[in-house]
Amino acid sequence: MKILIRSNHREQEVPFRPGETVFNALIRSRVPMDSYCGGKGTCGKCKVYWVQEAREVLACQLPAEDGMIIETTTSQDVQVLASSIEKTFNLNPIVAAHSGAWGVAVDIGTTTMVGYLLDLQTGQELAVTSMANPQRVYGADVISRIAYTQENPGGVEELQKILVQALNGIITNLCDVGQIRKDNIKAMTIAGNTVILHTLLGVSAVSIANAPFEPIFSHGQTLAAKELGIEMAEEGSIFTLPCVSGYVGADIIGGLLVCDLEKEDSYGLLIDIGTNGEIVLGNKRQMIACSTAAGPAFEGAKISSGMAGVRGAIASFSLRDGARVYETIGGAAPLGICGSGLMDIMAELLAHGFIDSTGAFAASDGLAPWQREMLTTVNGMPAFVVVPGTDITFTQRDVREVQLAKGAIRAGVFTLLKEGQIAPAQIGTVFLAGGFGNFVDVHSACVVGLIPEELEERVVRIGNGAGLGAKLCLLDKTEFDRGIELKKRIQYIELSTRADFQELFMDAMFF
Amino acid sequence: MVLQDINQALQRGDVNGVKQGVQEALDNNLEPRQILVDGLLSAMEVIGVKFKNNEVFVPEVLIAARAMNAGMELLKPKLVETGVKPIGNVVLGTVKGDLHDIGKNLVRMMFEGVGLTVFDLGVDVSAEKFVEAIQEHDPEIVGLSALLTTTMGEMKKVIQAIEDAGLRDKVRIMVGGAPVTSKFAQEIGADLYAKDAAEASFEAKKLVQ
Repeated sequence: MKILIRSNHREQEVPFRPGETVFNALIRSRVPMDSYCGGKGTCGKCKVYWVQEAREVLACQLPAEDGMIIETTTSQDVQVLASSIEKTFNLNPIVAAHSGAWGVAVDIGTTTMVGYLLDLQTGQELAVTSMANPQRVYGADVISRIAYTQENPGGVEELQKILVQALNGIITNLCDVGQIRKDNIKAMTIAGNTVILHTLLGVSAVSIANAPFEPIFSHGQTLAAKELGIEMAEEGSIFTLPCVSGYVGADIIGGLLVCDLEKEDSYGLLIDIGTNGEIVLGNKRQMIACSTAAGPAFEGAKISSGMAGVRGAIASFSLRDGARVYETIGGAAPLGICGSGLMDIMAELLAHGFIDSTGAFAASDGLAPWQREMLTTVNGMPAFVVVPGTDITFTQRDVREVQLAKGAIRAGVFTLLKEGQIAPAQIGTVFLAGGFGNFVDVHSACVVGLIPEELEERVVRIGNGAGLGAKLCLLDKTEFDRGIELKKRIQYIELSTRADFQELFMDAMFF
Repeated sequence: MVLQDINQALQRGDVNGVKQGVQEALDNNLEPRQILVDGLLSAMEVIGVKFKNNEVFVPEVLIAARAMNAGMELLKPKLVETGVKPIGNVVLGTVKGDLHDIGKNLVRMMFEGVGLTVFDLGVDVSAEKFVEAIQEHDPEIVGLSALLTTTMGEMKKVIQAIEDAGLRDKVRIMVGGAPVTSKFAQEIGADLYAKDAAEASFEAKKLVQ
């Protein structure tokens, strides 16, 4: 018995058990679902479109029937990165485990959160679930959320409450899928950025948003689940991974536990690209880190035809023999461009000389006739027509936004290289973490200069490093201790106080 | 024509070209004021307009400004000798709690590019420091920058402090920075909001003329 799911990324058949709801069938098949109430029918977030009946229904209230066609709605359906590379570990759980003891590892991102259910006795992963971070309603980025707490008394408590509710929703989902009881969950490990961990603990993060950007706490915390209101075993414990600084958080420590920079002779570079780009350079002898403000361009924001990585977004693009070749998410009609598409377009425009090394569109007399035909004017600016016959274009202003974003990341990389007295070629491996890092074409990223060009062959994607790091800590307590050691070893560089950053940033904006 | 050469060199951001041009112009006994206006400032104006139209970007402006500063170093003593005065004075800074430097520097360079003298107080500047600088430099314009939603509120405090010091009527206050809007500028009692460095410099020039 199966139902057919049309989601943003693909169409798939999902099996279900008799009497099961569509919601449960979906999460058991690991289709990302939004839910705060965990299927109680109260939060209204798991709304789907039942194609045959032509109406919207709550998936958690809808009994699955054979042959149903269900479309998940686009509004909440952001790309969530739940999978990661493989990593071996010794089974030595963070709490004493007996048969029937379970643990949950969570990565709380600014936009999305992912939870994993693991058997503490065998290390086996039983379920994974994801949802949007409900704090989004208080602002898309962490700074706006801090601003909210600054302006609204009780804001800190509000942010905490909504996050705890979401964690309880994750637990409910995982328990439904894994067919276990909540009080069998003995431990939870949490990775997330520093601001998010402050809000989780109900601590004001205002100090992180004001110079000198110091967090109130950065150590890994151990708390009683009861104390936070997390619904799991009565004696259950919560462990938050340590943070490096206000803007290099526990999510990066999680990533570092995956890529083992500190064990190697050769240098490794970890780059996690989001609204902020966090970068760590290190080997056996030294570890340095920084955070750089890339802005939301790579998520499609501030780009004229930009959009999130949802159905209809152009996710890859190339020019072949003078013709445009592109793919959209879900194979749908193109609606706009997401981060990975943006990088491809930028790289192709550079490779074919549409754009010069300063980022300006070339004068039309320097272009071939086929190239001139691909250009237009938007608000008086030159622009590249991405999809003929639509208003999906890539304007001069968009190029500038990409330059700012990639300049920030590249300047962060080069500041660390300078600080460590390392040449780019000395880097053995570049680890790309996070959603954008997972979907971006490495060649395009190198052409644009987001990653130093000579390192193209040395790029490894680690997927959701924060989530994997949280899982490692849950299953092996020495990994949690290693995270604490890493925090101590890493030297944090505050870019805004460095006199040479402006110069490096300027250089990094060119192509 | 040497002024034309200076102009072109500045637009390219060619530090040595600008220096050589200015020296040559001085050797040829051209008026320092003419070298300033027709050589340096007119080129910065072109850069400003191009920046506004997205034809050139932040790096080019900073590089051009670096070339202009190199030319100004040679020219400044002669301007002072011949009694040429700047068109106005500006006190500029990024407010307390905020360390963002680059946007503010861009504004400074564009201000200098239209012939204003800028007293740059740097970043993380307290309201008291702004008040002291106004008392010391007697500027026509005060420019406040903030790049964070959490620090833009500090601008209001600065304006309040200027008011408390009895200086509010002596200066025009301009505000800017990524999270700042013209609505916000009105709410906190600023005189002007500019959306980018080029617009800020055009507006500032209008204010002092």
